[in-house]
Amino acid sequence: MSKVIERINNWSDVLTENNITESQFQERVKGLQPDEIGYIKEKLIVAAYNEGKLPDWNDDTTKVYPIFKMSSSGGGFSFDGHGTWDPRVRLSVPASFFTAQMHSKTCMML
Amino acid sequence: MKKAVLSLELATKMFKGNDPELRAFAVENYPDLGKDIKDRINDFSDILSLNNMSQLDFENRCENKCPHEIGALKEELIVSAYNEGVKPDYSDGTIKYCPIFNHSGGFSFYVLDGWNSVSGVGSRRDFCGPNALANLRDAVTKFLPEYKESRTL
Repeated sequence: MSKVIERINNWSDVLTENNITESQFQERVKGLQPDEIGYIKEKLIVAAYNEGKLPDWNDDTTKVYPIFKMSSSGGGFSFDGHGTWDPRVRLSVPASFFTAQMHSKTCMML
Repeated sequence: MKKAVLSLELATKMFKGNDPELRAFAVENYPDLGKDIKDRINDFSDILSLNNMSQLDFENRCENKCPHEIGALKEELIVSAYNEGVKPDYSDGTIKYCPIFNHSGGFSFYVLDGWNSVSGVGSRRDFCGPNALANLRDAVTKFLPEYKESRTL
């Protein structure tokens, strides 16, 4: 099986990784606010990259999360780097994945 | 009678303005406006009041949501209440704070994180304003169960 970063290229791949169809997703988010839909999307993205694994906070591995530039004067919303403390269990990706992705795609921060 | 014509939202704007007469008028109608926000918030019903939301409104917003999504909504409302409706301006150079929790060995407040122009938790979860630090500490003390509901599996 190919690596998860090779399997995921767009939103439909994220749905596929989560075994969810577009219509199921639309049903799931019916009536929700835009930011609430974004929150669900973010969780599904992380779940896809984590390949179904849930973080174990007692395993001594580092979990990472993205940090974004929020300032309009800084060019608008954009990726800034990653934090290695994880404040949100559902939004964490193993550091090993993140390091690999950073190197293979952009090498922005590492 | 005055309370019937002056909304809390408008009174808050008056209170935050520079006109002493309007400030006094706002406090006359809503005495709590003169109090520190930490003293005005004791439980989640205060959070709803400060967001101009009834319990029924909140329950309607919770429809079709998982427990942790309800927790996420609660967290956003908590931060909004402490920020007194002010949205973070990531260009103003002030530090915005978010709490970081220890997830191993139970769920507890660990430390706080502060940034001026970036965020790891998003604009709805960052504490802002001159009292952001103290407000954050107050919030994680009073609403740890809500944070736990929001941030754990």
